[in-house]
Amino acid sequence: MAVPLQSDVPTFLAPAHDRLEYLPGSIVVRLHDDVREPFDYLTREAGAHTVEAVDGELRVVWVDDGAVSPQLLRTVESSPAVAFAERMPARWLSVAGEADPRHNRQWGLRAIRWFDTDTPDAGGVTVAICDTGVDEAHPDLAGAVASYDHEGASPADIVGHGTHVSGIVAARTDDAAGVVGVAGCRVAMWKIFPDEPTAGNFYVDGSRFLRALNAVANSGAKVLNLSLGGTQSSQAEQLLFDRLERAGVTVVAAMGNEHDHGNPVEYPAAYEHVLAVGSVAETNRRSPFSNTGQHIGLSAPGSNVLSTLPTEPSSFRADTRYASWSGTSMATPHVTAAAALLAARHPDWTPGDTKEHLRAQAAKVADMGGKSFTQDFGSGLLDIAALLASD
Amino acid sequence: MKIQFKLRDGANLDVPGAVQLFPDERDPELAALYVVEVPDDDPADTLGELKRSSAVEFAEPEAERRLH
Repeated sequence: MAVPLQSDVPTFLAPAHDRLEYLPGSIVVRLHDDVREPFDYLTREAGAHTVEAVDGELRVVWVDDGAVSPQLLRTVESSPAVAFAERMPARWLSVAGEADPRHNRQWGLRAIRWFDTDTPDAGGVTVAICDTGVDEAHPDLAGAVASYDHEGASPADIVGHGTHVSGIVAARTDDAAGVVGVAGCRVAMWKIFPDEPTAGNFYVDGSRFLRALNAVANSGAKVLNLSLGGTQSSQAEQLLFDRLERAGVTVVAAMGNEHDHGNPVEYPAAYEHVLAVGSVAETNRRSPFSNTGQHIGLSAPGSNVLSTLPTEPSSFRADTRYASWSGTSMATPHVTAAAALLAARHPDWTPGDTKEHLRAQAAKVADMGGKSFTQDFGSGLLDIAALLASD
Repeated sequence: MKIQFKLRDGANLDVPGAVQLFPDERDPELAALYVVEVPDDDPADTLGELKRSSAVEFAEPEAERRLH
């Protein structure tokens, strides 16, 4: 059975408050004369059992643990043959235990200028996510999962997709574990995917999805992340999305990853009240898979995004703990988290206000050619620093 | 195949096997939503029948949604 790692601090480095000042049972003695008297005394009074010669003058004497005292050292130093006697100081590797040791691999945070702000925090906000579930036991999500509804299915996140999305939104910061989440908020998860695939793919249980959307509307969540979609629109779904809008929930959805397979319009991204998110790569260019269209709202990092995975493998996923995944699924939670940051600062804002602000503050990337909107990028690349500086 | 349909305000329709999606919902629009599962090669053409019914506001196959 795999043991979940509780921390990413190197295991050879004890926490600072637990480190030794001196090595126990060890004394360094410098001699003027090569005599045995001091060592006879240490053998008699402190159980000295080993004397190592470092050079002609220095000796390391190993005595009983706990036998070393200031009085013992003063007595040894009182010998005319001894220049000094001192405890062996402890020395440790100068490896810093970083707050979130993998954050330097999160290129997306630099792209959205997350590091250019004081650690953004939406601690009082709950973000709803409808996905494949979440590993509540992941050390980087400790305390981040406010609720988890997996009606009719196991609690395991078999695919890992929901845990990955959750980490992008809400992985804990400064916890000596893994990665950084964008918003520091809490997550309410609705598992809407079954435990088994159909014809090799995981499809949403449609009835379960509609009930989850209604539950989100009644939950008090301010933002809903939907890293999923399909090409058919649904009047039943639209009823629920209208209801979410009336309930003050900002809905953020993925544009889809089929650009090179017909670039279809996908839903829920294309519904009227939904903010659709496309993906950019490390170059700030559109990720090749990312769908385009008139309904795109803005873009966010979606290629090779490092985030959390369940600590246990499953029959559909060998990776555990952390991995880099790609998709508009990964771009969407960046924007969801940004919406949560706005909700924390402006609880009175409507979903329309939030979406307008996210788009207005998006950065124009080079491939937009100076335009304020393109079907590749929408209004541009999510810009956290501009977003928080302007509100 | 699953079919979702919505009854018009005040309408009734007996569709064998149909389940109300939100049985406890007070919102009349959501309370009027139903789902029924039929064979993929449904000989009764349930979807067509529902679409033709004056009691039904809309009927549609359940939309496929997958991970992105």
